[in-house]
Amino acid sequence: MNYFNQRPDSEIEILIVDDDAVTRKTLTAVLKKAGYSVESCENGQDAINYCVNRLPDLVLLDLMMPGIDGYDTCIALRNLTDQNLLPIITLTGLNDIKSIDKAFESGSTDFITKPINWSLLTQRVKYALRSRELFTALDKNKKQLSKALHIARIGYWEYDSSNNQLIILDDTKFILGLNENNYSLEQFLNHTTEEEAIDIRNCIDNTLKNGTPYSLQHSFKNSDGVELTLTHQGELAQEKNSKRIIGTLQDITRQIDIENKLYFHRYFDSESSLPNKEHLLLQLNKIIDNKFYEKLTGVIYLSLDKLRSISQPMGSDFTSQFVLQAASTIQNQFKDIKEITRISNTSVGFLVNDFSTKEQIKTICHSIIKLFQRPLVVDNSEYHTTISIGCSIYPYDDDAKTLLKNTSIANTNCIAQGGSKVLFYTKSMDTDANERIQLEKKMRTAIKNNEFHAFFQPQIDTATSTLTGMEALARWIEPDGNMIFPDTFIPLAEENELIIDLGKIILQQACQFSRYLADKGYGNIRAGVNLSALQFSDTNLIKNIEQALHDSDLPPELLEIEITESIAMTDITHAISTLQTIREMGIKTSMDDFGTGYSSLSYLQKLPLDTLKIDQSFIRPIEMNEENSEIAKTIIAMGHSLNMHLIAEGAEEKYHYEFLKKHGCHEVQGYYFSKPVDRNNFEDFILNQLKDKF
Amino acid sequence: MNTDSIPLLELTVINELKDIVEDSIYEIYQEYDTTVSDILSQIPDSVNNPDRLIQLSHTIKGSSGSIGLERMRVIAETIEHGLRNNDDINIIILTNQLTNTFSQTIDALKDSGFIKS
Repeated sequence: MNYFNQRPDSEIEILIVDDDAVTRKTLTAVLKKAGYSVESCENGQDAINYCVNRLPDLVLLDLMMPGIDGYDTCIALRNLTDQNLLPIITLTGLNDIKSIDKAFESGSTDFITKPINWSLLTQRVKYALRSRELFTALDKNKKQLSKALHIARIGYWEYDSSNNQLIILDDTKFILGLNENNYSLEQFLNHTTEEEAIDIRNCIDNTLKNGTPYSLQHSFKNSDGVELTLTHQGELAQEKNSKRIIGTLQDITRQIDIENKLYFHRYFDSESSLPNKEHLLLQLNKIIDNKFYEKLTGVIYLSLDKLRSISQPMGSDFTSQFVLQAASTIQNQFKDIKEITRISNTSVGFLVNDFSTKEQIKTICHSIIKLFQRPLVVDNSEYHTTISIGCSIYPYDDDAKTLLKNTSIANTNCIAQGGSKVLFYTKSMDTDANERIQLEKKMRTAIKNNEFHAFFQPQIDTATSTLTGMEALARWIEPDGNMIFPDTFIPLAEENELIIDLGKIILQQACQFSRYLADKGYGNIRAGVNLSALQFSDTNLIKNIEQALHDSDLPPELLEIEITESIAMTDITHAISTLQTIREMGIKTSMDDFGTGYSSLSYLQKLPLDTLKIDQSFIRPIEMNEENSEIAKTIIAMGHSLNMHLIAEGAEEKYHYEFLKKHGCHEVQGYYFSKPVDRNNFEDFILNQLKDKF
Repeated sequence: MNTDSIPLLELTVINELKDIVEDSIYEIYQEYDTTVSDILSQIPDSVNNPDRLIQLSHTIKGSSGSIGLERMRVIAETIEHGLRNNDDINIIILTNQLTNTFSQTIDALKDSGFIKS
């Protein structure tokens, strides 16, 4: 860096202040000859006025002047803002030491004795100007450094162990939010934690003893109680037998805060504050890096299956709370699971460590599934959810990403198989995954090509022995006549939400068929249509039902909407209000699979239901002599006590029908009468088969 | 006071100054002539005002000393210091001497070509 003045001399302005015209004239002539620009004033007041408006680069000032003398002029010039760097050279008599001292005290930079030595004058001026440039540069550097330190929030300190005094400069005082410049070491350490105080003291003692510098990071509570994070460095002062340590403190609170935010952003889910997938990978990589080959680690992917259908209408806050609740449920029960990460909207992942066999991991997973048979409480409401668990094992695969991907494949397979179980990843699942993608593609085309059809299973009134209703069931008939059953395509349709479209198709067809039967004179035959969980939470549900009724011109009482117990229990409030709306439209409401779920009587009473459909698993075991019929009897009695219309499914034998009729079950459905059949066969059943069944 | 041994013109100073300022030297001595003539003309009215006399002699001392007019400087200094220290000096004789020396100095400057005649 060049400290010297880069301006041409002609731009450097020198102000001469002297009452003596001859000296003024001579000084002016000499300095102009040297190339400077020169102005002159004949008294102190004129000089002050001049400098207020325009600052020269140097002042030559006579001390002995009438009016305001040189000393007062000098003081006045110094008092002008920021005039400390202005060189003021005073002119004084050769033998006047006292006046030189006084001039120095008044702020004079240098002096020249009279009579003036003209040859030396320009040299003295030149030196004074260079010195001014040096000071200006230094001052600028100092200000820049101070500014830089201020921005970086770095401050200096000194500690003198001989008197136990810690001195901090003003900048440091500002950074630390302290009021004093001097502290005892104890006073300073009071702003840190006890443990940090011990560390700092040890570092200082060690530095005093061995001369080794130290660097550490610690907290610091400032006088407003705000906690800062500081990096703190210290070293022994460079002097003989030093008892002093000098050092810096830097406030890195903001950096740490930003780092934390970035870390959080990368590794945590902002909605639930749970760790995210990246964090799970990080943990998994730590285990892999440790090469713990002798033990097994299970990578678990757990999806909250019912949450998938309710998350959309309930919003992300609800979903987050649900996931959090699920996570804490698992962690409360399994203390070894240190961390649960949120992998997707409705799924979490975690690691189970230190197992010797796959069976042990399986046992844990099954315990977790059991855990979710109890409802979760979110926002003071209880929700039932089933869960599906996919699992992969380290070191069966040894790459974190592969492990997580396989876990996810296992989980998807698990959902596709109806959920509520544990599947370990196998290579064959990769093929399954491919097949599913193919199937999904095929299904989309099939919907477009009207390959989905409603089949109908008759429901017989036990009191009148007449056909009063039918249940619509989806069938996929490919162009070549091949029929695909719902257990193949419904789980997939639930996964990719094609179930909504499919549900609409079946609803439309069911309404139209019921209308057709009435028009053909078969009487009022009620059509029962099942709703899937996704359909039931679909915001367009009511609109779609209205549309189907409108299109078919079917009286609403001939439509019965069926939902399963588990759908109702997932979100009881939503179930109550939706069923209520459906019922107010004049449509019948029914609970499918009654007896298989978790519902208690108190819940059933709250639900606006017309009909309970007794699950076939209670009917099938009944033998001719009524053995194994106790549960069925109990369930029928329960239905009666709730004043519900009862329809039993799974009547495969005539004696099933007779048993149900005897015990007051209102309607019966099952293979004894007919399997689900297409429209033509249904008509044929009415016309030709029904009468033979009694 | 006897000032015969003190040169009217300190030529080393004057020549050095001329080397530095070149042609401006004439303006400087012209200024000296005008300024000091003016100051000297104020002296008769100031003989009973020591403060004023100190100021006037101080200016003459400064002007003269700076540009190598040594005898003028010494006499002016004698007056200034004498008055400041309350020394027993004869102001009339000294101011008279100052006026006479001024004439001799200007003549000498003219002779040496530093003031154009």
